[in-house]
Amino acid sequence: MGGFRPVSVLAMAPVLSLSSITKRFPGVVALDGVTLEIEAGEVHAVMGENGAGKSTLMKIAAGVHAPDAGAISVAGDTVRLRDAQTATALGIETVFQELTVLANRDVAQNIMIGVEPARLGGLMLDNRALYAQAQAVLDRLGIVIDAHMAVARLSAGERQMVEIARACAGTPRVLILDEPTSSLGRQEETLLFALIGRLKAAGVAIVYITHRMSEVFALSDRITVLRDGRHVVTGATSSFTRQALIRAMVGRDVEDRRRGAAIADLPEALTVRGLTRRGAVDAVDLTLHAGEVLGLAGLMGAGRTELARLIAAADKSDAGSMTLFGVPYQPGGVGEAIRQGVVYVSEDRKELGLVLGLSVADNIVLPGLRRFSRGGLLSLGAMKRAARQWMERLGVKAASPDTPVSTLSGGNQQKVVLAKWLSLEPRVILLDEPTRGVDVGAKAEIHERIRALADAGAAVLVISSELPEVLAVCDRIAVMAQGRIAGIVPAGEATEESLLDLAFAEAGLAVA
Amino acid sequence: MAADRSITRSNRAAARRAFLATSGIYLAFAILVIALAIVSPAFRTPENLINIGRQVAVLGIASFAMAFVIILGEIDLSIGAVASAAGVVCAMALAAGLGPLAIPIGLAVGAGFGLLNGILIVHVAVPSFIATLVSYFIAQGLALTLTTGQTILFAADWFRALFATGTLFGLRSALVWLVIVFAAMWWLLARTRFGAHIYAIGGSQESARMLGLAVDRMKIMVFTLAGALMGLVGMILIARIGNARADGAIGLEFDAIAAVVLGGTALGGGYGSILRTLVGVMLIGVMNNGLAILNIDFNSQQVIKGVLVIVIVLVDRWARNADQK
Repeated sequence: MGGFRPVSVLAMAPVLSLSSITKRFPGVVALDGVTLEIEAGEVHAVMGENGAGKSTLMKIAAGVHAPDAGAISVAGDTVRLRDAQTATALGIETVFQELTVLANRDVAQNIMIGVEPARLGGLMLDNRALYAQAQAVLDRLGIVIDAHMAVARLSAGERQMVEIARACAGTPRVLILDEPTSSLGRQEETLLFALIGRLKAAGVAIVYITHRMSEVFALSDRITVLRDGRHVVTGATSSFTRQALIRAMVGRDVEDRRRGAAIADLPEALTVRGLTRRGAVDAVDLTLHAGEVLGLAGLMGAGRTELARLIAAADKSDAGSMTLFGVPYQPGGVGEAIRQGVVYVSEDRKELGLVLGLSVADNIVLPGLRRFSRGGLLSLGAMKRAARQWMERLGVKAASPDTPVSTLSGGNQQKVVLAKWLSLEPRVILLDEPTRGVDVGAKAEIHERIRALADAGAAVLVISSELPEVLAVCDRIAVMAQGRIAGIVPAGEATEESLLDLAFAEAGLAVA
Repeated sequence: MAADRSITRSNRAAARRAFLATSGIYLAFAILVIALAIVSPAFRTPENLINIGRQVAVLGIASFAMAFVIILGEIDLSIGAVASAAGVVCAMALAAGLGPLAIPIGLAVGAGFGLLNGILIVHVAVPSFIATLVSYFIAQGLALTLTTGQTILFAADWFRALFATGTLFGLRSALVWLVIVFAAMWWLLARTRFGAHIYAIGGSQESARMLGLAVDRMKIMVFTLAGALMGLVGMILIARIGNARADGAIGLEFDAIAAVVLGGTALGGGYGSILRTLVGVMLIGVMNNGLAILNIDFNSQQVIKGVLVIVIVLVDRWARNADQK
């Protein structure tokens, strides 16, 4: 691999250099003096746990965020990336983790955005050339999508490929790929890897962010590891072992905290039989035991959130039955589910989980307000005492219960969300992406609380897209694919690869 | 190649379905016109149809401006007040004997308020709802201060002919302006890079920014363009009646929003077209005219208009859903 290096006058200067980059967001230092140098013709993997600062660093390279301190240079020249346009003009193209494909436009309009062929300074769009050029880009990359297609009709994987085509439409010097494979199917993945090989041979520098170890070792020439916003190590890929890489990312050896006892001996808390919602969840059978943490893994769109929402009665099922501790469980709505002790903690804490304008205390007691009500009046003292108790129990770091939630860091906000629902003392807890956007320290704390919940007898379901997370926290892991349970495996026997295999399995191939 | 063609063909079928899905508005329009033609002989006279055309000129231009703003994902509540203010300033310029210079002055007043909207939204970072409310108050206050509540009279027949009362190819000049602005705005939105980027920003402002579009500059340009068009609307208004009042176009923004929404443009931004906005404008125009011809008093007209708007929106939604099954 990589014997070929294009000779250039600037061979000594890295094509993209980010030096001593610092970036602060309210309440958190996302990047603390990070340096990253990318050479032409290399695939440089940037690794780190969620919240390590990878995406922030990439957004700085892409001109989306401005650094608070540090310098950026392209091929030896110091530059100031005022906006994404400036970065693109310098040949830095980015495929962002959050898809930027515009669903209201068609494929060609997305691929050619900003460089639409036109005459008279943009006043006469040449639509024929637009579709021809976009189709040529797709064909060149081997992507089988019609340039006329409306993006709204494409799958997540196809949208990702359109995004990649957009980034490659010009002639990038640096191509940043932020978790490009998270929504791709196998065929598309193969296509992408071949494409990376071709671009690399043509001297394009590729920055590759992924959580998948196998991809890193197969594709990259060098690896940089970030942790808690700091640079940990940079080195040739061949100098890393899998274990060493994990240790660099996590900062310690990962301990095994999974439950050894046979799950089958635990009492059944929730059983789900044939649960179906057309187009999302397809005849799911699942048993959740009291005292167990069950992981729910799968690709985006596999139906995990939809399943949780059915259990929490946030959506209506088309078929199927459920029992709760042996009693038929047919809640008519979220309120009834909560009264029966089943709570769903949404993945989107800003949209659905928290009232950002309210204080920590108000948020925590919100779902259980009834209990603090005396003849229609609220007992503020009792509310504050309860809130303080939950803040302590979950380790919420806030100046006081009156602090507005909007001023807390992501990790602390997530703890407030948990406190809010746990204050209802639920018997079954469904957690959807409980650590998304949370820094590493808070993440470990949240994992501990999740374990503690189960140890105290609650039945916990954890939906997570991070396989290391489900592997670390859960007793068993159920993998969903296309609305079905593709398999359920004890966490001790699972690996990231075996879970991915299940996630990609065609519906109906279920094994257990 | 065969596979390619079949993809294209299925795409055409999809396009046909999409057209049917969006045709509810045409259906509603046809039903309304036929119903009025049956009920009222006065409605179906040629004079009345021309009359409707003249009446929709102001609403049409205002609605095209509003459509741009809404497709961009924003809203403009200032247009009625800005058109009034531009009309007042222009009338005073004419009364002061400035002659043709009154035209760029009127346009500049409109464009100036549009620019103010854009700057408030982009550089002061307030939502367009608030920014344009600010402009609404300032424009209205300006017009009231300048007129001191009086009607501004001016004598300039050439001006009235140019913007309202003259004829070209048998069309009243107000209607000619509507046609010109319609053609220009349709082209701008459907056939230029500028238009493509309006859709992109309306689809997802954050994505558009990450994709390197000049989101801020686009916003300022769209609001300034909308403002300049309000200058034109103000001039058509004063040309039509031969004088200017501070409240000449108050409330125009609501009819314009109604026309744009009736035309199927999503209030969230990213979707919509000038052609369908025109149909929405015609709907409102026919509705206003029909209700007046049927001798329904103004207060009841407002109620009926409200009910009709929701009925049409429901018919439109029904047609869309029918397609998806």
